[in-house]
Amino acid sequence: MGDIEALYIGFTIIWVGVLGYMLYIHVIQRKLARDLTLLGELVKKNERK
Amino acid sequence: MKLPKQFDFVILAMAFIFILLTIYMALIWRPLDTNFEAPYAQKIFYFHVPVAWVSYLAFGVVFMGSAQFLRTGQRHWDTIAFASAEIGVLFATFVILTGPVWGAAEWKVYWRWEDTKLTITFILWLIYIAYLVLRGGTESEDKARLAAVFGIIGFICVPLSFISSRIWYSIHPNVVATSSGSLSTESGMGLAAGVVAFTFLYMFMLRKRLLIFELNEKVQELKERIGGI
Repeated sequence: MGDIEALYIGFTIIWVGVLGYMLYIHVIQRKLARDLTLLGELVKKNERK
Repeated sequence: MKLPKQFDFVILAMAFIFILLTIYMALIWRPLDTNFEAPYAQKIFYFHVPVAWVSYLAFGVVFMGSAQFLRTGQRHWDTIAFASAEIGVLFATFVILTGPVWGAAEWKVYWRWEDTKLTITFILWLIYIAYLVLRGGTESEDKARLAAVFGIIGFICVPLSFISSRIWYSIHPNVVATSSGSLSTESGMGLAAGVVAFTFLYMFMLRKRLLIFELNEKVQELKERIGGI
């Protein structure tokens, strides 16, 4: 592997990995927050019945 | 522990500032180190070493969380250990991948199994993947306790990985300077900036991961209240 090529690849591995993981936890957090809101509304409706 | 939401913003901002500083110091400020066959690839160390440090830190938190869970039986210690193990494995994966990339440029081979540092780090990575498999997808108290024991025993590999290149055969460079070490003050500053940057990043990721566990628990609770969906 070439010298500069190795630097680019190493750099890319770390930052794509970090950003990918940050995106992953952000998406899961958003999904759970939405589920929580929807389920909260459902519980309130059930309690009113 | 409940901390204000602004705290997350502050640690993310600090991580961002130190990441930019590390990139500047590594890629622009520091000259090429001509002691290496591949002086450009050597700059990977400014990221590889901090990432390795964070994986050690994360596994240290797994050790502490697991020990506290076994001692007190409080489930939140187990959650902290599990969340930290996930981030530790992520960072250890970066170490396992970027090391061979540098090795390919410097040594002309990706991996050397006879090198104790490389082999022990690889075993360390496998141990915590096994921990995640063992602990993941279970709410059983017994399995959580078993995983905690595994998390404690597995931590033995962390100091071994750190000191292996000093006590056994290894051609892996010793980055932490000794009295006869090769690390200059300027390079040390670049590495320190990287260590601070990735430590802040780890703190942010850990807090987010713990928040996700908390949200998931609340969602499960609500699902149980309405009879399961």
